Amino acid sequence: MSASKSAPILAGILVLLAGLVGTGFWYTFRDNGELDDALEALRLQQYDKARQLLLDRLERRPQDAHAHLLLSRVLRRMIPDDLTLARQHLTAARQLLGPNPEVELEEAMLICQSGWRARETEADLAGRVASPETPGDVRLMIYEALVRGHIRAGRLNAAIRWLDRWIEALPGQADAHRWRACLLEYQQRPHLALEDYRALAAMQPDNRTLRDHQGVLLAESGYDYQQAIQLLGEDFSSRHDPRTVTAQAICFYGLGDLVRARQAVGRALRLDPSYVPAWLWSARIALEAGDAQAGLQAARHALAMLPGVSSRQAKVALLEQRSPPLAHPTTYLERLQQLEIQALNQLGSLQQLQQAMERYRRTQECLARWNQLVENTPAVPDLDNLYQAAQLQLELADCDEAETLVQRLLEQAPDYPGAMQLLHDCHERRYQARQAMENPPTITEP
Amino acid sequence: MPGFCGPNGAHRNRLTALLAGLALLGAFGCRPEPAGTAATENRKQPAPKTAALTSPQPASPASRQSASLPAAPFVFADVTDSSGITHYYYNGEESNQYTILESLGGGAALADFNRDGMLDIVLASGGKITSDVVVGFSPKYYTQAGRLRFRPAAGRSGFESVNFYHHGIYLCDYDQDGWIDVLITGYGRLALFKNVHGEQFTDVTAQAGLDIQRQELHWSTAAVWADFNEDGHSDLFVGHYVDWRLKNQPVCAGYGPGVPRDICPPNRFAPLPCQLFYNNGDGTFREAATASGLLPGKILGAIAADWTEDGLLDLYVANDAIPNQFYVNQGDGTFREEAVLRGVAGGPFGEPEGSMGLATVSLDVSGTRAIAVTNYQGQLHGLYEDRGRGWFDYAAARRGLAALGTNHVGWGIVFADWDRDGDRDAVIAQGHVIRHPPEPQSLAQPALLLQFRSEHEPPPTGRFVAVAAGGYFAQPHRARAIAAGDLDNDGALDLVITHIGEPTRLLHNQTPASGNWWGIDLGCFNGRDKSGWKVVVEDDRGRTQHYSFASGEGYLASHDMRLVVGLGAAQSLKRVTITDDLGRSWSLPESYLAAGQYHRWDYRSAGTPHPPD
Repeated sequence: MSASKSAPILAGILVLLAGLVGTGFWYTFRDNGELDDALEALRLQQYDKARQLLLDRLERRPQDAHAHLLLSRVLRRMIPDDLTLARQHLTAARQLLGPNPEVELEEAMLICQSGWRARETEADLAGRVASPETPGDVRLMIYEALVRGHIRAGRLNAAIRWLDRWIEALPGQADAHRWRACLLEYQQRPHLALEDYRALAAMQPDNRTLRDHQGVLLAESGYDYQQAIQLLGEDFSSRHDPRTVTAQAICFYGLGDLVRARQAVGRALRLDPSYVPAWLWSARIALEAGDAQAGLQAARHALAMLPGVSSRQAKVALLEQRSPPLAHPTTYLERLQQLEIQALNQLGSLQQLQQAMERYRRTQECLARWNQLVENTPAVPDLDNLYQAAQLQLELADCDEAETLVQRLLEQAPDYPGAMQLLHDCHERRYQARQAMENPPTITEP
Repeated sequence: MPGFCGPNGAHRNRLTALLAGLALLGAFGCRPEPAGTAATENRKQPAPKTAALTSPQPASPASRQSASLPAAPFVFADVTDSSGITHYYYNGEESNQYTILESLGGGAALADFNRDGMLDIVLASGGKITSDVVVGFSPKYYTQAGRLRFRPAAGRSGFESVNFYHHGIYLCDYDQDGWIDVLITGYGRLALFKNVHGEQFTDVTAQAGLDIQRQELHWSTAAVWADFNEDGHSDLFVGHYVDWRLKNQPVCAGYGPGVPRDICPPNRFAPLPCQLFYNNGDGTFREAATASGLLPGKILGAIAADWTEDGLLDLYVANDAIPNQFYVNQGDGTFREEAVLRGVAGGPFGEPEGSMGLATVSLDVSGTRAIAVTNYQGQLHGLYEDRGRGWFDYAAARRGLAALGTNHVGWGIVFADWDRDGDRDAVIAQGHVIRHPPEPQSLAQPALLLQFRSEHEPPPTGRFVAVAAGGYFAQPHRARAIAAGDLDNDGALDLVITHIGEPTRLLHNQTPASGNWWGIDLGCFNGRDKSGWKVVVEDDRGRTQHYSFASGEGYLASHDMRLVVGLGAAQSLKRVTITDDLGRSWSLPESYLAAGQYHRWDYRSAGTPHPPD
């Protein structure tokens, strides 16, 4: 072959090679950019975006261990999390990478976040956050995993302890303040919750919702009705959140303006006829205004709506850094029963009063029996303990608890006598509560 | 003190936690947990030194708020320095053991013990707490030399024998000898002192049969002298607090960030039984049967009056962190507890509160009676209006007490007509229980001064309104008991307020009088406690005022036994009717109606009463 003939061929080969190399570079560059984008999205807590980027990448490169690891982290940290899928990707990463400190760390965080009481793992993570060599973003992740794990398992005080450390170690973290505020609020420690909300408000001065929420908390706790109404404003007709409007009603009540209190709580009930706290306050305000009949009606309707409040809702709200709007169903049961008694007391209806007193006494007996049961339950509850506990929880209007207990019982003893009936009673109670919610009484206003 | 004590979710939580340990993602039981248990134990911050407790506190949010309150028409001058009273209640906090014992404080009692026409003062002194023993300091007895000058009793008063840590001072002429005797409640025992001609007090506890030594009766707090069995002799109810001992002193975490330790909440301790002693009429007492129907409590206040209007004295008991109790006297030596039924068990929703002080008041021209209860942080001060025959409505919002908010801890409460305009105003002593309350709470809190706005005053009317006054009321304090009495016999009620960490104060009422006054002494000088008695005063302008008496009002204190009635614009009285606890009534003769002075009235020489209705 002559040189003149071979030159174009060589040039072509060179161009092809260059193209191939370029394409390779482009792909590599693009893949690395994808990972970087996913990391950046994770840092910015844009979990959906991070997940999509990583899923796209894994579709092309299913054996990318780092993508699996990163996706596991994203799935764990997103709200709500998906720990099952996170574990699958972490397992894939482990298989591809072999022993790896990053995988070990992710594994530890996953275990703790799942709510297991894994003392050794928690101690390991505690050691890592205490170490000055641990980077700030890793410490943040560890704190977050520990907090979420304790919330998931219902160990709220432990969660708060970790949040205390988190806030002390890494000041200015809005997430930590929000979580702690929600937990403290749920624990009915409003003065401490307010401190965190104030810290949050300082970080987000234009956040109107935060300002409102401080007002809500001040009103609900009764700390300072004057300050609360200043934060919330007196106009409730243009408000659309039943909790906020109820808080305005509470302020009017506290300040002695029972007419406006009734109007506001009436609006809250029109906004959401299933909002139990508004019915509770409606009863209280009506009673103090001397309208015992309306008070009785509100109290009885709210009692019919119970449970109406779900422990599960509260759990999800806390995990999602949302302030759980409702206290425990048993608290409502006790309070509403007392309001019913107060209303009947005002109405002078002695026979009904005695019946209401009887129901109230039964609740008190259940509470006493529950406390006794808890005192005497061995470390591993037996089947009878579980059955009794489920029964009592149902009596105390906590269908979530009752159901969880009875399901645990059925897992161990599918034929335990009465267990299925209890489950049925739970559903029946929920059904009746829904029926009541769908048929609210007419709201009377002055 | 239930801010202390979160809702009763702790036990409910445990089984759930137990189950959560069994299986992953177990039953979610994150109900409210008791505040200040484990949640804050790791918050690092050095514990403030005890000295900080006694140094002036920064203005609390409540005191800052007072700037926006309307000005008080009342003037109280702090005359402690010139009075000769140099008294301090020692609560033992300097030992830094964080005992619940140190949170209650001590009382004061005002009476003319030596019958020289001027009020004298007995003050509780508390004690100290070491690592293995609780000891008491002697109460102080000050006699008045006139013009608000007091001097410690010359020589031995007899109170030197008090060596137990004590709280309450309660008065009654239990033996009907004409001299007012003194009961002292406290940790370890109680003591009855007989007034020997105003010169000395003799400990007659054992002689009177009150020295019951039972393991479970070891922390007496509130007491009530009242004739429960209607035999003409004052009986004695004694409330006990909680089963705390140095031996069972738990360590409790602080309640706010950075506080490693603080005083434990009452929920950590069991309630104690109460006692009822019937007066035998011969200087001795017998203890009521255990089947009397009185239940254990965590008692800090108790009052007796005939709310059910059946001629028998009933009993209302303020409990700390458990429901209050309302005992209906059955007339056969037994009582029936009906607090929930009658609407006086707790807060707006009947929830248990940390109730401390109690007082009664007649609110308006119709004589509507009400019971007021001071409560813990996070709770409203309560007001229960008696609709009749002891059926109560919760009325804290309607009557203005709710507007005070919940950011304070109340103790002593007194209703009195500070400016003599014919309305009953109020004072509430305040101060926190725990040593390091988290913001926005504060250890020291200003006392609340409340004015009752009647219909002829600026709105809002028919309710109490917090008003701002200078001097003592402008500053935060750790106040506990208030004793009210007319120390200088001018018809204006003065105040003695005890504290923790600061001296007892004497506040002279110098409010410009907006009217004349009339006073009467119905105290237990004639051997009968005035519980259940009523006085109806009708003035020359046609205004009628109702006064009902209840024993045990206030917090650990005893007020001047005389009644002072502000007459407002009226110049004289038209009629005064007195009704005793048996329903018999007397119309006072003309000679008792002169305004601007006190009258002493003895039912035994008052002629035939009108029969009961």
